[in-house]
Amino acid sequence: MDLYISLSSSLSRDMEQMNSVALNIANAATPGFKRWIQPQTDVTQTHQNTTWGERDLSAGKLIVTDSMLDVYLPEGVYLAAQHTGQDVFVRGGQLRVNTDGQLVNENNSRIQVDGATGPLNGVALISADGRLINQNGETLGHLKLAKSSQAQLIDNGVYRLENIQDIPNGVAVIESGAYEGSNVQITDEMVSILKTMRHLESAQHILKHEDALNERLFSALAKF
Amino acid sequence: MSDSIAIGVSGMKAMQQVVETLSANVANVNTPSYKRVEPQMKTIGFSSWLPAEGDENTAALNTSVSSGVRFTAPRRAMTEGQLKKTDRALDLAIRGNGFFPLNRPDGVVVYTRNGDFRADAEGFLVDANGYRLASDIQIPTDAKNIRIASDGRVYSTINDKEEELGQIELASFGAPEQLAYENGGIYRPTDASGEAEISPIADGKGGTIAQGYIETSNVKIVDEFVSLVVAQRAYEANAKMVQAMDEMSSLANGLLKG
Repeated sequence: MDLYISLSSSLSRDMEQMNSVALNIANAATPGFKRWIQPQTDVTQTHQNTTWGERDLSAGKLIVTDSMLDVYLPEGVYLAAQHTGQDVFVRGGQLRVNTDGQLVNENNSRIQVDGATGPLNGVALISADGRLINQNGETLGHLKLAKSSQAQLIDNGVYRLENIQDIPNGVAVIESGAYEGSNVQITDEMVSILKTMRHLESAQHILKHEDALNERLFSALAKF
Repeated sequence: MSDSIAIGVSGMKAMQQVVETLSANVANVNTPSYKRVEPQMKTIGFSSWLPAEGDENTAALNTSVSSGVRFTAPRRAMTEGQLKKTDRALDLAIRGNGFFPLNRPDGVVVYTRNGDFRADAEGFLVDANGYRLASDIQIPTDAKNIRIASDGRVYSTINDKEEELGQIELASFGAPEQLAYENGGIYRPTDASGEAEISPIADGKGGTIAQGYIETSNVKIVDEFVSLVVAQRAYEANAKMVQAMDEMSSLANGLLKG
């Protein structure tokens, strides 16, 4: 009966894998979304709980806008921010100055600014090295940039980093007038759907054959 | 299994709203001073729980489940449209990020960037909706050659002598993209946009005025069409997802039929 358990587990895992594909496709146009990587199916691990896969943290598509406060960062570069009172990191996005004169992103994470002496109202441009510049060309502060190859996504668009390397002021890394789109490739997701469907079909065939074999075995045994 | 179908449906619904938003932009490509709306989407339900400092238990992070996508309040791109020359004396365009404050008949002050003004029966400057300019500029019936300087001062020639009739003030906002939009090119302040700061143009806030020009819409039709095609394809992909999950469910259900 082990084969039954393995195959039924495989079937249910296929169904659950479809969830991550569905999430990826649904979020193919969500700014900053990071795709779920397909969890590896191992039918021998029958009793393992289904867990969600890892996230692919590669950079998303660059989406050009007219807003010079939108920022796109290269892969592995983050902005220091505060989210619900905790120090976190974010991947740029659609920044704006709120009515309290603070720089925030689309999730209302407050972006940390070095060297700001007052409210940031009047910021008209973010330079490639992260300077906040007003219409008169004056610098109102610097974005606090960090680099890390070990990031963990802890909420929508919110990261925790390890082994952080600071990026010194003056290094041009930012693309302003653009934000990061989703890193989902619809074609890849369509291929995943096909693969998962075929996998489920083959498991279903084996299960049916096994069932037929058992039926013959039982009926043969019943003759004795 | 119904999760995947629900997620796919959430994607289809969001994409439908994206198409509706983009259609509104396309429809308003010739509306003076119209600001394009950018559709915005967010993932639903990722854990809002953040581990405390030094919390090593990250198991919960891996089980955070999200259930699709939702369309959120769109963002209005407040970039300036191009100025179109009309040579009408009362067509005014703002160079800068200001707004004309208007007195709506119900007593509420509202704001517009559409400077398609005319004089009402009493000679007061009114916008296309018939709302009076808050600066209360009254043009005498015998006035000729109305001249409006870039600082908003209105002059007219009466009995061959140029006289100043008043100064148009402009309003500026801390976060103009957060203003609430109403029909007829009218904006209202919200908590997120902050209150209007109304000031004479001389101090440089809000921009300057260009007489004889109208600000056109900032919609770029090619960009809208490209976005429409992308949204349509994304809708199809979500629909295919729902279809595939339906087929898989039917295969699983077929196990019992033998």
